[in-house]
Amino acid sequence: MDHKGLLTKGDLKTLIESGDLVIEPLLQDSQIGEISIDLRIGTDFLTSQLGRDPYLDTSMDGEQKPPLKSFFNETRRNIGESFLFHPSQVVLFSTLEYIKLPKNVIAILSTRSSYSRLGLSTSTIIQPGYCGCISVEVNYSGNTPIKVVTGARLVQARFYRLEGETEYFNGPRKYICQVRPIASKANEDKDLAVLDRIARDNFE
Amino acid sequence: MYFAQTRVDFNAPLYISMFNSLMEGRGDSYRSEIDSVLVEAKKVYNGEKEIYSISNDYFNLVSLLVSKGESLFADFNESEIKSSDYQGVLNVLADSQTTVSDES
Amino acid sequence: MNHKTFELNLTQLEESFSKSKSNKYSNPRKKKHFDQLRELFEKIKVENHSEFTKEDLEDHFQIFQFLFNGLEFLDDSTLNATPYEIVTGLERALSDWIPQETFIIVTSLSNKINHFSFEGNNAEKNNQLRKIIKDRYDYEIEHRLIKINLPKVLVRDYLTCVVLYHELGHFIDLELNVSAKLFQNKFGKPHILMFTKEEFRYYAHAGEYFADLFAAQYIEDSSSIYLNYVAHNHSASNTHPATFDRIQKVLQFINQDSDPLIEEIQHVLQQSGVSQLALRYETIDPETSGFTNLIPHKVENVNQLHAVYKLGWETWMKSDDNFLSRFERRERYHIVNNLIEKSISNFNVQEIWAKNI
Repeated sequence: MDHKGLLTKGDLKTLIESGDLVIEPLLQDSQIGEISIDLRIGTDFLTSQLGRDPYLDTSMDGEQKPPLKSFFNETRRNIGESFLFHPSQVVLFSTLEYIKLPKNVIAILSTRSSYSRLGLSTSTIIQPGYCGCISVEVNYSGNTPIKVVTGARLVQARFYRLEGETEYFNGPRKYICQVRPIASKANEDKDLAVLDRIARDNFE
Repeated sequence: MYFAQTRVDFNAPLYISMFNSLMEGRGDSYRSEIDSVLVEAKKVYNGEKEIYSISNDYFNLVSLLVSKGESLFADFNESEIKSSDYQGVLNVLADSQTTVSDES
Repeated sequence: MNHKTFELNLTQLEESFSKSKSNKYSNPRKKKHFDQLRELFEKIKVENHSEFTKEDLEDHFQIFQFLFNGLEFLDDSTLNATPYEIVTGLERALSDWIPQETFIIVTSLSNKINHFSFEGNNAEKNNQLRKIIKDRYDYEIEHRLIKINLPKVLVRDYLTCVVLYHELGHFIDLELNVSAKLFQNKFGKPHILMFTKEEFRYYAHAGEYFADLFAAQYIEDSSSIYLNYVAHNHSASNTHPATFDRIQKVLQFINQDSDPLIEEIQHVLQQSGVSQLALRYETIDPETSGFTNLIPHKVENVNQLHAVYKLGWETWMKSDDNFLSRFERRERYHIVNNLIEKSISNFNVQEIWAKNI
């Protein structure tokens, strides 16, 4: 019986060979480490930009409001080209690899230590059954712009097998089969409608 | 265009400009190439060469000249290409322009 | 045309260069082409324009059109704007027909929803311009642009963008003079001298049929599906054959049935010593493709790469009954397009990695 918890190199290779775990393209076997798989920074980016609207509004989505993605600029690179991370700029990128997780495996992403030491950090959890390139949000705490080559192994994913299976598509999903970074859809959360009603109807 | 189109794929005015330059003693950088195209056209006209073998760089010009070969190549001496030969080509080009504009 | 209108045009061009010079090109050939256009323009600027003859003005008008047009397409062909993945497929198709190194496929984005078109010079017009530029300025521009217009809103619509294969077919037709030779064979005179409506119609229809067949070599009948929607029941016009006839011709080609026009085209191509029309796709079974598992298809070769579009179409057309049925319409649309895009880009990335490792 498959063990639970953190998956090691042998487990990961078995899952990839069986097709239960999909990571495409896996350009080098050496990306599979003892307890994680290195993922590459892809070629598509969203970068935060200043516009006419004074602030990002994460309250309920409405026709009158600018979508959150309007605060971001989409830009592409060829693999091997460089991308600049600027201090205080929110950057989202897609991993080069398209991932499909088994229904009982969760992945946790973090920046590889070589890049963490430069001030780049991320925190992303990928749910079991997810499929798509991973949109990674990067926080850069340094004070000097930093150049990174697209295609470089920037993040690592650790995989944990769970007790039971989950069905990713049981509920409505905002991010399906994405191949480019997707801006936050925080203002599309359904419960915001309830909160909006509460604010409008209960405290007047 | 996918479902409506206009195509003009022959630039007579530029050829007219080029041959005018040759008439006036300019256009030295392309004179020899143009002369050899005229020679090729005559060969096609005389059946010594296949139209298919003509370079795409000059296909339309050559096919045009061949169609008017009777008037163009009667006195054409390939070892001594004269201003009158260029003038003959210019006349053909001028006529072709009229034809195309009738259609457009 | 006089000196003042020339000056106006020169100034407009100067403005265009000023706006375009900040463009960043990931493709070094695009960058080089832009730099060469600018160098040529700089040479033109320092001429003594007041002494230009009428002929000088006319030549420069054509050179300016060439420069304007080049800038327009380069502007929309940065990596951020151009449909990069589909262009890489077109480049592979191009290399089946013409040495690709000389050419750069560029796109211009239109606000009109059905505006797919090929725009540009054939070998001969290009040669003329180059000769004049070389003669006047002793300057040579290395690359040529293959210019394709497409609707801006469909730039990431890989289903509809199959039409770009048709547009590339127009380029190949004009470059190799296929329709021109068909015309010559039929009427015994150059198409430049076409005069009657029948002649014009024959030439135009031959070009459309060739472009359809060219596309079908790679994308099977994917383009027909969309054509049958946007031009449903269109009867023959002066410029285009009837939609039904176009679709039938593609089917005949795909089924390798005999057809006089297809045979005539093959004859012309063979006589011209260039490639012939052939089925250059390797059909992917939708049932066993990666798409059914919501993952990109593992493309194994270039013929499969072209076939990904047909796979996308089949997936979309059956989306009420296949794995997509559980998703909403808009989700289905994004899933199909995303999977096509990533199937292509994975193949490209793996290939370039293998070449450089």
